[in-house]
Amino acid sequence: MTDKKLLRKGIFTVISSLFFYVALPYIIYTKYLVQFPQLALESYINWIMRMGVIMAGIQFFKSVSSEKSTRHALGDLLLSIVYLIFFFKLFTLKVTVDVAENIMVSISMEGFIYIYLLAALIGIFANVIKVFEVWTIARRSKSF
Amino acid sequence: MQGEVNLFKEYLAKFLYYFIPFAERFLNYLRENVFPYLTEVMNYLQNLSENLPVNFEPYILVFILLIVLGVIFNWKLERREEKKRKEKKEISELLFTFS
Repeated sequence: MTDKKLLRKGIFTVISSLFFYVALPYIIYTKYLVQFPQLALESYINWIMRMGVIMAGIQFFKSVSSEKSTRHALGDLLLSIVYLIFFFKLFTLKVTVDVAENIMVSISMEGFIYIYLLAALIGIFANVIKVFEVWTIARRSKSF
Repeated sequence: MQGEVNLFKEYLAKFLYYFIPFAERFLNYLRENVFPYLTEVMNYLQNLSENLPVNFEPYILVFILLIVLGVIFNWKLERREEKKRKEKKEISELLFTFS
């Protein structure tokens, strides 16, 4: 794949990720979820949009570099770290619902945290190994 | 008959019959032996997520930085590939003149 193709792919990826992570949550929130103020989902949506901007940037950084390159592996590693922070925040946020007067229900997904944390840490470790692997292969092929 | 829904349900029930106790045991093992060690990581992430900026500007700045870095690296890659292409062309021309 030539580099202009990669750049085109990167632009497509950044636009699609911005749409899915930023525009779509915003549209869903302003069109539908605003009608349920008792859910108080604003913090969730803001968090998704904020991290979505960074995720889109990393996706671009990853997809403009050729596959099996160190930058591609580095992009994977960065993405897994950002995903970890993103889901950690999502799981720790509590949604409070005013069901009726003097009755409030709090919903949280804290039960998922440990199992997700374990999986994400294993994933990050695997990505670190991948970065080193790709880097050593590239160095060896350069020396040849 | 292939693709029957009832058959699929039967297999699914069998799978879940063996899998759920195994998953429970595995989760209990994790709860006792692995999860206590994750509390430090969790505390660190808790502090980090609390201290992250609330406004959009820093995130947009990081996004722009990543885009610029990506474009620069891509441009460098393009130059390197052009150099390789030129070298290949020179070698093939040399071979052609020798032949």
